[in-house]
Amino acid sequence: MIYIKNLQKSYDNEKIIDIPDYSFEKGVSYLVFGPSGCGKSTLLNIIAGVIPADAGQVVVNGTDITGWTPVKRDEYRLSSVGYVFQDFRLLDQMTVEDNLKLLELELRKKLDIDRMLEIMGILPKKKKKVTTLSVGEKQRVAIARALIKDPLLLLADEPTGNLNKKIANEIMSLTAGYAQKFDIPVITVSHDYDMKEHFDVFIEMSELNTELSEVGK
Amino acid sequence: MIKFALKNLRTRFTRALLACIAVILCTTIALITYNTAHQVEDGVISTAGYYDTIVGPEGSPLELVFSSMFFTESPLGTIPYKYYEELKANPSVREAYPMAAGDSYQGIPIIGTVPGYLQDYELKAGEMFEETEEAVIGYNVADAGVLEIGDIFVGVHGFGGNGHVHDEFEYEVVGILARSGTASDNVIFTTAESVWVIHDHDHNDCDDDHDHSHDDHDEHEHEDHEHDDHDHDDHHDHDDHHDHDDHHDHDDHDHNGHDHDHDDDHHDEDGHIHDDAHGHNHNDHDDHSHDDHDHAHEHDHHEEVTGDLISVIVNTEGLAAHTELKSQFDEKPGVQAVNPTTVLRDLLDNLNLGRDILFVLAAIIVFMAAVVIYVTTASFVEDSKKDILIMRLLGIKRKTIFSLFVLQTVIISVVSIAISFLISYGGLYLINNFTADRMGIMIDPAKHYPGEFALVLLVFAIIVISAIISIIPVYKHDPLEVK
Repeated sequence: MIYIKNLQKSYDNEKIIDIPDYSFEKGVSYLVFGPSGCGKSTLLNIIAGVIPADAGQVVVNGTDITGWTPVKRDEYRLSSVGYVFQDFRLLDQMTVEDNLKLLELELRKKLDIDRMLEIMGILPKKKKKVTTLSVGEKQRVAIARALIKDPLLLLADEPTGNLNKKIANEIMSLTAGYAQKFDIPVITVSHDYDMKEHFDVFIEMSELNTELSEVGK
Repeated sequence: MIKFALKNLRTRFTRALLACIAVILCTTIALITYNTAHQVEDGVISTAGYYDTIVGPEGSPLELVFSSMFFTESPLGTIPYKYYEELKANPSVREAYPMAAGDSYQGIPIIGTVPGYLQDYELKAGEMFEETEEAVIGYNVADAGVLEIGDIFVGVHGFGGNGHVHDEFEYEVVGILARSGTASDNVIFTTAESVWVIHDHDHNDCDDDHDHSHDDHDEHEHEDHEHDDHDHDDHHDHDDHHDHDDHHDHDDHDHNGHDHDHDDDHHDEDGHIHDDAHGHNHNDHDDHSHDDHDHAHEHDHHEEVTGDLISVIVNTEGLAAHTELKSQFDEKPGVQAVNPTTVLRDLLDNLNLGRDILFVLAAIIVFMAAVVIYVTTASFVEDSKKDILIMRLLGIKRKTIFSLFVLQTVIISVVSIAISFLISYGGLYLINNFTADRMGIMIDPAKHYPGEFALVLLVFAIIVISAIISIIPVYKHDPLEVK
């Protein structure tokens, strides 16, 4: 579970995040909706430990991560956070397998890559270079990389960015489904209102920022 | 991590290859320059180092050393034979070898000396020269196919190959020296007597313009003598080692007029292969009866011939003996004694091949290498910037990313340096062909100096430091910048 309390973040003296209180529960998928620049991605980056918050708390499974050093946040992100980045952020020149194997450098343990690729339905693409994959396949690789380390939470930042509607729906459905499948909170941010049907909880970012009101489904 | 580093390098093969080429080029040039300069210097000094004194004609000490030890310069002139005798008799002289020269064969100097001069050389084939007319050829001379054992040849006056052909005197190759990496590989050795006899004969020939008119002879009973009619092929079988006593029975010749010309097509342009260059030495004849026809060969075998020397190479008991000898001979008119090592050291210093200059040269090359290596390494890291930022975003520690990229540059360095050593080995081998042929200095491609390893360590350090310097700015970038 992720608990957020009095979370604040500003850029150039402009407050982007101001969340009094909110909890993300295990096994539940969340879609945080809002226009570009409203602070959706910033929220995910704070939860993932990519950037620190200016104030407030982010408690993950009982541990407050807001006071952590960058190194400690890196460790936390690597071991506990599955993060599907916008534009996938894959190592394009490497194979599907190597993109997952990369994590072994730091995790110091053997990852079951074949199993994860099989779950994602892209095992036959294991030895393929990322540049040769379709957008949908790249998305699956990015999700596989996020989930292979058995994270405590899965975050997805605009996972359907430039995809056509059909593929976007497939991916949103897939992503949201992992909440129950792996019993973790799945938080997806998107500016595409139409995707809300795939998620358990739909949150408007503007409301979240002031009162953190749950619009609900 | 090594496997991953290798995979990462493979994905950026072109960049990695460019970095390798830059390192290889710079390192190879630095290695070859450093090694060659040292080996040439060592070779020059070691060639000269065995003997501590050269006694020769007055003039440039350098020319004296080069003409006497490297055979690459024309002799300064000559000194009388008596100095050799004097030196040989000197108790403070361990070894003294006379050096006579003046002729060449296809541009290869013919050096007259005594077999003792070559006592430390091994023979690749055949035997050491002992008699006049016998010659031993250097390794390169044989290797180039110029001559081989059993070949008969005549010398050409001077070292340029365009002088007067001494067709009256033939040499036979009786041995080939094993490769020594010295100037001896490039010359032809014979007895000093051979040089004297040929020039003595030549001197007289020059007097009578080779017409063998024998004006000074009291009697000329050679009616109808026509050398062209002689079937010398039958008689002059050189495979039989010039058994002239058996073959040259001039009693049967009709020497009418005696105007034979020994240049008459019995040798080729280089003086190789000769049917009948007799080498008659008619100087001493009062009575030109061929019953006692005085062949040069017989002359050589039975009379002691002496002549002038281009130098005497000496090994004394030590520095004191050398100093004494030097002052003693420097006082003599037209003679000088020099220490070859000193002369060559002066030369090398003057040619800026001293260690200081070498160091500066190597430093410039290394600096250039550093710039090139930095640029290519920085370019390699810049190309990997996106990957580095993605890794940071995933939570992979800076230390791990840093180690990964340093490891990649270490792999590039090690591979490049290893290849550089291989290429420099080949380069030194080729340079050796040049220095061995031209200077008589052998460069051993497998020989390395501690300085080379220091150089390689420096290159290695430059590469790694370049990588570190290149990676640090990437860390300053916000990982979220990456697209």
